[in-house]
Amino acid sequence: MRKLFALLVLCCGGMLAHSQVNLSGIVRDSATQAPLSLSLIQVGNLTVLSDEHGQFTLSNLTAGTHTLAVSHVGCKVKKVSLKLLQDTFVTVHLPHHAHTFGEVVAYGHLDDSEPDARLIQTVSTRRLEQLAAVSLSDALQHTNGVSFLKTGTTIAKPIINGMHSNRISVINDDSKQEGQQWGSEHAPEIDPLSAGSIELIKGASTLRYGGDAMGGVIRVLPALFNDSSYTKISLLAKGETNPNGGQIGLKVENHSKKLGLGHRLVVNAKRNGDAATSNYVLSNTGFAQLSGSYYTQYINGKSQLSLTASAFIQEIGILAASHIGNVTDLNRALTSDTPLISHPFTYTINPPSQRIQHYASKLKWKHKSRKYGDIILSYTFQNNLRQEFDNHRGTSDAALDLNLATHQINLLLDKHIESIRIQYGLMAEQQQNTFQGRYFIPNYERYKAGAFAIATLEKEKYLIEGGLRYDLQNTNTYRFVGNDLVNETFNFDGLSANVSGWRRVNHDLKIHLSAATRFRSPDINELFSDGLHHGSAALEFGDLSLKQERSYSLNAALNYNHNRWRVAVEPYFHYFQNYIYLKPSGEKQLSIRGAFPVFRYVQTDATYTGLDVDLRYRLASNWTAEAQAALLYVEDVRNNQFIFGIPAQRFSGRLKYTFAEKLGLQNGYWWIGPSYTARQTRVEANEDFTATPEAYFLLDTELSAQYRETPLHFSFGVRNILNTAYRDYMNRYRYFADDLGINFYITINYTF
Amino acid sequence: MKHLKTNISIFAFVLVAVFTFTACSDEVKDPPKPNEGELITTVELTFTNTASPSEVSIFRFADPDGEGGNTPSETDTIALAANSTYALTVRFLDESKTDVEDITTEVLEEAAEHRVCYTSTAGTTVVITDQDANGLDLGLAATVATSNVDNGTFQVSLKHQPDVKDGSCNVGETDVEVAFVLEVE
Repeated sequence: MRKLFALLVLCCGGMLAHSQVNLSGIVRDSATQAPLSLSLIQVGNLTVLSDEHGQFTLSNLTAGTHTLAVSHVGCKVKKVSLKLLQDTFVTVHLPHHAHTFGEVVAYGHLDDSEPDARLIQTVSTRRLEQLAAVSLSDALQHTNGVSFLKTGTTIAKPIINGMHSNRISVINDDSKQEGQQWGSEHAPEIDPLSAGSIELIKGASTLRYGGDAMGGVIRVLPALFNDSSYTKISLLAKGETNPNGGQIGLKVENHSKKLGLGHRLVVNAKRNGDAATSNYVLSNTGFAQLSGSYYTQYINGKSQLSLTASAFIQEIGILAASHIGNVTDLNRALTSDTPLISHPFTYTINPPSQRIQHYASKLKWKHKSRKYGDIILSYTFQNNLRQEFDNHRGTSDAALDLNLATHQINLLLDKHIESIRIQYGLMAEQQQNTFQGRYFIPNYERYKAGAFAIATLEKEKYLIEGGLRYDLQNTNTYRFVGNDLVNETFNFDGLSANVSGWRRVNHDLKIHLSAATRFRSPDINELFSDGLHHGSAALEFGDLSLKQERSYSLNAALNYNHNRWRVAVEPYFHYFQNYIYLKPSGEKQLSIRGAFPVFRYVQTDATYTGLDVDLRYRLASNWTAEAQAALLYVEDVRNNQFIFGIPAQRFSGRLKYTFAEKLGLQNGYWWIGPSYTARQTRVEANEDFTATPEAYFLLDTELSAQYRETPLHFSFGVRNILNTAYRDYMNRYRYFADDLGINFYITINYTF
Repeated sequence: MKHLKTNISIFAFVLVAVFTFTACSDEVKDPPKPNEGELITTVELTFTNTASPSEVSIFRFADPDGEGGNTPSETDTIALAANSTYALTVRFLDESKTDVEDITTEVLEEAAEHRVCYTSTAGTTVVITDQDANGLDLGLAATVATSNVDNGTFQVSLKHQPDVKDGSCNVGETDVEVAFVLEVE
């Protein structure tokens, strides 16, 4: 049942029998708990809109019974009776299926009612369904300040504050996602359809999720059940032309309020064939994914127990032309305008390819204790299997075959004492990696532990938070050197600390500041790489003597909302000591496949200086103009050099039209948006195999709406409308082929 | 009482987790031995003078520990007589293990996917004398003709060309590429 329910929470001050009372409250999305701004609240002939935090106030109502009518874009007016005797604060939960299409991303600290200093953006459930996202990168499209490190079209890793891979953590609820994240062609194994919402936390504004996520955290949260008894089935389907293929997803949700028991089953399957550029087929870029999850939650009084089990299986074709044997092959590819291997379109995936499996299970217990506050204890097991095949051995014998098993325990205590919130907790992890066949990284066993404490003070106008965290790890590696089994031990430990906070300068302006220091231990590939990287024409050498790297970070955000303006300006600065990166050494080493350039993991001092800007201006009641910019300057300050592989400056814009009803379509929007990516000029001469790609301009559009009064919702869009041929600096395929040409897609959601 | 219940739950939880934590790990301590897979470490060229078949010269390039690691252990200079004709055969070996493996047999078995290519200077010409089942040049055997005294290079490469083999050297992936120094005396 789509039911509006209200909680009468707070009755303060004021004496009984006042003839005039004030009613204030907050409107939230019942699924995500996100406050809903611009909800219309009507009492008698008085109307008011909720503000950006979902809050509203109606003053000087007469005491007595009133009918409160609350509506939001995409939701029919719902009414509730209230007997007002004194000043009252209500929390109104609007059901999830209010189609809240207004914003792609909610800004500010909207997702969480808790006092919080995190610099956060949230992608809602609704938006995830609309996107029919199959990967984290799909889900984070159009999120300000996020770009992607890609290998072709299907393998993409998010970049935040210019950082990726080991410097970004993906947190599934409260435990870290553990895959072979060190590889630039290893994307996170997450199915966004199983997620309730996704939080993007920039910089180091929290220490809760580990000390090593210097660039930021992507947190995937399960959806909450509505506070009623219901069974809901949602179907999702997507079809697209480039890459030609489709996707079908099914979500079944059952919740019994009486039993406090909820179940959710999600199955998602995607299959596509070869992608194409504006001029040719990208042979062997087919993709298949099957993922599913089961989530169950039981609430009994003050305790909540939940269990999650998920499976994720992927098979990804690697562009045939990108698999090269040596520098001669690479040079031949570089001088050719078209890929050297191009066959007609097919769905078949041949080697070179990747086959990835990720299985996870999690048991979580949450208890509201009067003495300790909220206690959250969870245990997670993850098993990640990665196989990479080359076209020498076919699919019978993987060139890379790794098995990573991780056990984690997380304990969090979260207590409020008046306006102070104290969070502290522990984490422990055991991990083991084993390989089959060819050596690339050694077998290892790793123990990690961490402890943190965060104190937050919240006042009406400001919030201040201080955090301290200690992490340690012990790694034992096992590998053969010649005929000798060698066991090496690595121990790292260190402190992280941060001070964050925000201040509401006035009704329109909020300023956020965060200062932090963190450390990251060298990862297994940085220590142990030794030889030719699969399919690339480079010899990569790790360094066993690498020390841990330390960052000193400053993140700020300025949010200004006034009349027609909505402005977010987010500057950041990171200073790294002993920054680890793969540097072209300039040497060449002779081998049986010719001479290869040598890349070495080195340590230096580096700075990241960047700015993310998001400007939105409401042109008219239905029209909005948006402009975004992501600027970044990175430098090796020890050697006064540029650093390889940093995203170029990007600019994008959007003209958006939103409508309540048009041509039988409801609650929809249409937008058209250009984006411009500049050429990366901040590179050392002759360091790369080829010059950096030219700047490029793309144009995208999307129409999204609900069909009449039905629960059928669709999106139709076109990417790269101009069918521009371009290459992106952050895509490894740029050496071999253009990026994707025009793509038409349609997504349909239907809820029973 | 309530507290006790809570404490017991936490205790049970931790206990279960600790058991799982301490399990396994023998497999970790037993990694596979390196180079169990296919590796080409050595190129061996045998030149037989067609005018005097007893005059046989063998030249080798060997990098027994594969790409990376130590530098190649053998990098012979090819010395040939001027104005002569040689029958050339090539072998690709894996000498990383105690039992030397001849990869040439695999190349021969998959002849339709492979091509050995030669680029030579110093006035020498190379003509391939063997073909695969489709009649395309294979290159494990060739005739090399020298002219006047000169110095140059003699490059041998092995191309892996599954599905794309067309007889040319401009397709596929390079498995071997060795440039020998060539002296025509």
